[in-house]
Amino acid sequence: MELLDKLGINVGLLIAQIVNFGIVVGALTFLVYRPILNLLDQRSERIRKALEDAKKIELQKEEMEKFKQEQMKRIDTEMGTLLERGKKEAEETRQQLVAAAQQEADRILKRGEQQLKEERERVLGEVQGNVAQMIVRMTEKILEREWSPADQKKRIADLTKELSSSMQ
Amino acid sequence: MASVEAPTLASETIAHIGSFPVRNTLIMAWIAVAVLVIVALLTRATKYKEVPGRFQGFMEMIVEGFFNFWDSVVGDKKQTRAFFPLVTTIFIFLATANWMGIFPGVGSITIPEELHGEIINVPIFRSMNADVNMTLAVALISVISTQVFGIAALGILPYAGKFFVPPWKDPVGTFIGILELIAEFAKIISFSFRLFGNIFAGEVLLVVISFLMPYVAPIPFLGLEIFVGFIQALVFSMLTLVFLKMAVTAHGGHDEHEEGHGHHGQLAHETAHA
Repeated sequence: MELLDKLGINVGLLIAQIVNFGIVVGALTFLVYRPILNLLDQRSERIRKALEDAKKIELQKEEMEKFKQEQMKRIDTEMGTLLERGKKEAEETRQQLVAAAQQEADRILKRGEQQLKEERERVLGEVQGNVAQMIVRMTEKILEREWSPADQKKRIADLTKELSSSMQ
Repeated sequence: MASVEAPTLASETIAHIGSFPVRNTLIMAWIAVAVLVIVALLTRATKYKEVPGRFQGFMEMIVEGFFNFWDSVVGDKKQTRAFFPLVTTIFIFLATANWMGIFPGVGSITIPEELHGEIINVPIFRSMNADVNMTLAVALISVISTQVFGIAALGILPYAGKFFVPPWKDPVGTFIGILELIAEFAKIISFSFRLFGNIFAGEVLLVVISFLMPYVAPIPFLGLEIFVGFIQALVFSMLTLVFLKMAVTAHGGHDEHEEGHGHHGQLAHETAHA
């Protein structure tokens, strides 16, 4: 007991200090530890979730990318066949057109040639007729003027001589 | 030349409220309580936002740091969570009080007081833990909490089974149980006197050094007191934590708990020797 007295131990003080400690524990627990630990838990939970979401999004993105690639490839091949077909059709059409044009051109050419020939023949015929008339008329005129009876006689003699020489 | 007025073993009564003696150490305890309650209220004023400000960030850092440190000893987040308020408060409360003990004015501001018929100068402030009342109170809280946690975790009979083993079943166990029981009471003594001894010795040391050489010389000792104050608070809280862990762990005599128990027992021993 003397030791306790020397150390100044007093039950009232002990209780007072226990109360002090209780106040500190209460204040810190309800105002600091619990809310902050909860907050930290929430935050780490949120971070975990966010990371998970990010991973999910990443995966989705990858899938989308793959899908897009596939789609692109599909469209590409489709486009290729379409283009091919288009080209072929265009070629066919071109050939048809060219053939038709050729035919038309041939036809036109032939007709032109024929017309030309006909025209030439006609013109030629006309010209021939005219020339013959003119020759006849000119001959008449020349004969009228130049052909004297002496000439006639001489000519006949020549002819006769010729004839007789050729008959021998 | 004035003589050294070394602090007495007992704290000094500086006032009375009714018959209740207000000691200078109790004043310091109240100041420490006020400081910590103000810090708690400041923390509440941050509204615990998802995006923390500077002060909230600082408090989060402290709480998280303590949590991880205790968890590295306990190794079970749920148990750490249960022990956290008690152990952390012991550390913070004791460290704050110890560090407040080296403030200027503590031990040097005095009032005249009548003691045993003569007038002597009594300091108004005295480091809180330089008083057995204060350390004993915290030690009692620590040891009683250990029993409460143990009973809550194991049930009253299995927990009592740690101390009371029938001699016809296991005579050695009976003896060990008695030793364990004594150890529980020894814990109260060791807790309170380890802390009291260290802080009281520091007080005396500072007074003596200041008397011998008032300028410059006490500075390294002030640093030493900061260190001692930290270490003692850490030892007190760490031991409490280890005892708590041992109390909620089933008896170490059988099955898979043996290794864990042995490990923690060893750790407790090492810390106790520190």
